[in-house]
Amino acid sequence: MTGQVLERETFGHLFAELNKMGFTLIGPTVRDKTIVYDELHSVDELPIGWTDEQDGGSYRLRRRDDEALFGYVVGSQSWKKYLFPPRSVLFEIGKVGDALTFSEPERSSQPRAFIGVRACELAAIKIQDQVFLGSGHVDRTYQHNREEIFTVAVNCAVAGGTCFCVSMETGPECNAGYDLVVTEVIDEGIHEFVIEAGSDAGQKVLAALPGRPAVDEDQAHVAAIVADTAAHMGRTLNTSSVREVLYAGRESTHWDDVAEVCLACTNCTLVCPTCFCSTTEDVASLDGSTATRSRRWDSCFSLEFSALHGSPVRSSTKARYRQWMTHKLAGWQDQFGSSGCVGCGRCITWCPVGIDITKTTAAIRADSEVLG
Amino acid sequence: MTTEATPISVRSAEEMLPQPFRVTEIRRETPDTMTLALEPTSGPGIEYAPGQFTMVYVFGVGEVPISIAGGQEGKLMHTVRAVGAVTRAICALGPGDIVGIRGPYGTSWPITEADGRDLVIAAGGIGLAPLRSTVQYALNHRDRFGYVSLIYGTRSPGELLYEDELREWRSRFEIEVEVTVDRAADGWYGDVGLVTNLLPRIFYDPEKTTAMVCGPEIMMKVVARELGSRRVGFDDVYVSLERNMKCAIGFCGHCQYGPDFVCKDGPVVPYSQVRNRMRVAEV
Amino acid sequence: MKLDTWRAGRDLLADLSANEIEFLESVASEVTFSKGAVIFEEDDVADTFYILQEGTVGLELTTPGKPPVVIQTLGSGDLLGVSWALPPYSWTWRARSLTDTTLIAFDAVKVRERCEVDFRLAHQILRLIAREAIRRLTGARVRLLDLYHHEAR
Repeated sequence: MTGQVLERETFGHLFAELNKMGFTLIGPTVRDKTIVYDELHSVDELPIGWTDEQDGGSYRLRRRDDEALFGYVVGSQSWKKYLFPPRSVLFEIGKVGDALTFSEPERSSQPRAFIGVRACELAAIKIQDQVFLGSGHVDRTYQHNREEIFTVAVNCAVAGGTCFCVSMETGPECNAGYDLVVTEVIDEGIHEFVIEAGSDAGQKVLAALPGRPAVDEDQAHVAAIVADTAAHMGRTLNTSSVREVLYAGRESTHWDDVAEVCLACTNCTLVCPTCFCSTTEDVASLDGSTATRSRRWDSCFSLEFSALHGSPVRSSTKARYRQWMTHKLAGWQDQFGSSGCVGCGRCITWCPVGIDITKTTAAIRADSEVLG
Repeated sequence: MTTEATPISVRSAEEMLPQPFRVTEIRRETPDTMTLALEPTSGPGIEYAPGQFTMVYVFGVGEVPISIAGGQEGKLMHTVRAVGAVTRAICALGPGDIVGIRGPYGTSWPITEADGRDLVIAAGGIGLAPLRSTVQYALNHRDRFGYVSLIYGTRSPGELLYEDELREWRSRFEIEVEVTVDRAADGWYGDVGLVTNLLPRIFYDPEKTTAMVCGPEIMMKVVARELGSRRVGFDDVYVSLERNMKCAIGFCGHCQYGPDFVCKDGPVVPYSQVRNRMRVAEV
Repeated sequence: MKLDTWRAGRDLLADLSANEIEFLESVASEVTFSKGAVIFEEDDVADTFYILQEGTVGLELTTPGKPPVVIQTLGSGDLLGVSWALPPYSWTWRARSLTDTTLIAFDAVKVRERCEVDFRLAHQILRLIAREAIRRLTGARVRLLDLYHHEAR
C-alpha cells in the first residue's frame, strides 16, 4: 500500500475525516503534569512540544525544542481503560416477590478512533483480545468495547528511559493491528507525517486526505526513525527461557529483596496495559427491588485477592510480587501462548520505589545460573 | 475493524448470566453446613459432570463457587458450609427462595475414563460433596468397575455429611465404605485416625487404580503420597483444587494457581500436574 | 500358621525371603477376641505382636472421669504392636477389640531372639515397624492440624 505524507498544517484533516465518519476521537493530551488519554476535539489538544522523561519511580514532562505532536513515549494510562474499563456492570437483577430476573446491561453503539496508539500498546491490545475473546469464553463487555474502534497507531520516535519493547519484540515499529500508522518526521524545517494504511477502512480514510504520495525517501526516514528508537531503549530484558528460569526460581532469595521495598500499592498492575484481574461488587437498591453486580479492576497485590475461607493464600508481599511477575512472564505463556509483558516500562516508571521487572528477572536468572 | 483474535469455542453468549433456581429443600448436615436441593424456575436447568461446580448468586449479597453434590434432569444439589457472607446467606435460605445459578464450570472427575479400573474415592470433611455424585455413578454403573471403595475422614462424628446415604451405600455391599474421624466422641464405635489409616483395609490393584481425592490441600497431598508409596501412579491420582474465584470463566484472575486457572484448568487435576507446586508456600 | 491362609496383611511381609517367612509362620497362630476384650494392657509385658485379619482394634489410654480415649483404630491388614521390638518391651497403649476380631499372633520373644543372630531378618522387621510407625506419626501429625475445622485450613 502506498503511504501518504501530510504536512503539519494539513494533519488536522485526519481528525476532521474521522469526525466526519462518526468516530469520537480519543488520544493523548496533557493533564495533571502527565500525558493522559481523553476525548480530543482538535489537534491543538495533543501534547504539542512535550516529551516525558522516565526512570524507575520517576516521570517528568519536559519541553522539547520543537513542536512535535507525538514526541513523548507513554503515560500511566493505556487503552485498557476504554476496552476493559475500571468499572463495568456484569448483570442486573430484578426482584418481584421471590422471583429473580437476570439481564445484561444495555450497551449502545460507540464508534471511537484511538489516536496515537504505540506499538507496545497494539501488542497489549492483542494480548487482551486473547484473554477476553480468544480463550474459550467471550467477555461481553470487552467484546462490545472492542467493536467499532478505528486505530491510528504512531511509530515511536523517542525511546523512554524504562522502555524495553525491543526485548519483548513488540516495537518500536507498529507492524499489525492498526487501521493507520503515522510516523512523525521533524528535520531541518520539515515537519510532516508519513501515514500508511493497515486495513481497508484505513485505506479509505487515507484516500480522503490531502497529502502527497510517500516516496522512497519518506520510507527511509521512517526506517531511520524506528531504528534510532530501537537503538535507545532504556532497559533490556533477556527473554531466553524466562519461563523456565522463573518457575525454577520460585524459592530464590531475590523475591525477599523485592518484598523488602515493595509497598504492595498495586500501581504496577493498574498501569500495566495487559493486567486483567477484576473483583466484583454487589449493590442492591434501597427498596430491595433491583440489584447490580459489577466488576472493577483488582490487583494480585491486594491481600484479599487470594482470600480463601477468609485468609489469604498469598499473605506475604513476596508471594504476591512473585505471583505477579511469574504470571506476567511465565504463566502467561502457558495460559495464552505469549508473554504478558509488552515492554512498555510503565510498571517501572510508576512504581513508587522503582522496582524494576527487568532487574528482578536478571537477578533470578543469575541465581538459576549459579544453581544450575 | 482490527480485532484479530477469534473465539475458539463460544458457549452461550449469556454464560455470565445466572438462571433462577428455586430452593425446594434445605437440610442441616452439621452445625455449619447445609444441603440444598434446587430446581430451575423455568428452562432446562443444568446438566453437569461429577466434580464440576456452579456459581451461586444470592440477591444483593454476591456470588460464590459451590461444587455440585448431585441432582438430575437439570436439578442440582449443593452442600454449603457457612464461612463467608455469601455462604452464610445461602445457609439461611428456606424452601421457595430463589437464587441465581450459572454453570456448570470446570473439569470433572475421570469417572468415565476409569472404565474397567478399581476406584479409590477418598474424601475429607466437606470434600465428600464433590465426590458424592461419583459414588452414585459407581453404584449405578457398578459392573463397569473393579473394586470400588470410599474412604472418608472428618473431624468428629458430628461432622459427617450424608449419614443416611453413607449407611445406605454401605448396606448395599456393592462398594466398600470406610469412615474415620480425627477425634472419637462418646458413642462412636467407628474408626479413629486419618483417612490414610483406612488404605490398608480396602482392595485395589495399584496398577489399575484411579483415585479421586477431595479435601483440604494437606489431606489431598498426604493421601496422594500414601497412595504413591503403595504404588499407585501420581497420574492416576486426581485431586480437586480450591482457590478464590469471582468469574469462573478465566477473566477475573483470582483462581490462578501457577499456570493454571482453577476455574477452567481445574478444579479436578491429576496430582502429578500440581505436585511440584503444592510444596511451595503461597503459590 | 501359613502365610497363604492369611486373609489380610500379606503385603506387610512382601520384602521378606522364603526362609524368613517360614520362620515367622513357625511362631504364628490365629487368635480371636470378642467385642470389648482387651488384647493387651498399658505397661504389660510386650511379648506378642499381631497382624489384624478381621475386625477393628482401638488403641486407648485411660483417663480419670471419662471412658477410655480411642486415639487410633486399626483394621484388617494392620500391624498391631510395636513396643515389643525395643526395650523395655512393655506396651504404651491398651489394645481393645472394638468388634469381634481375628488376628495372627506372633511370639515376640522368639522373634527377638532370632533377630539377635539373624541381622537380615532384624533389618526387615525393623523396616516394617519403622514404616508403619512413620505412617501413624504422619497421620497423628496431620490430625494435630485439625484440618477439617475451617478456620484452620
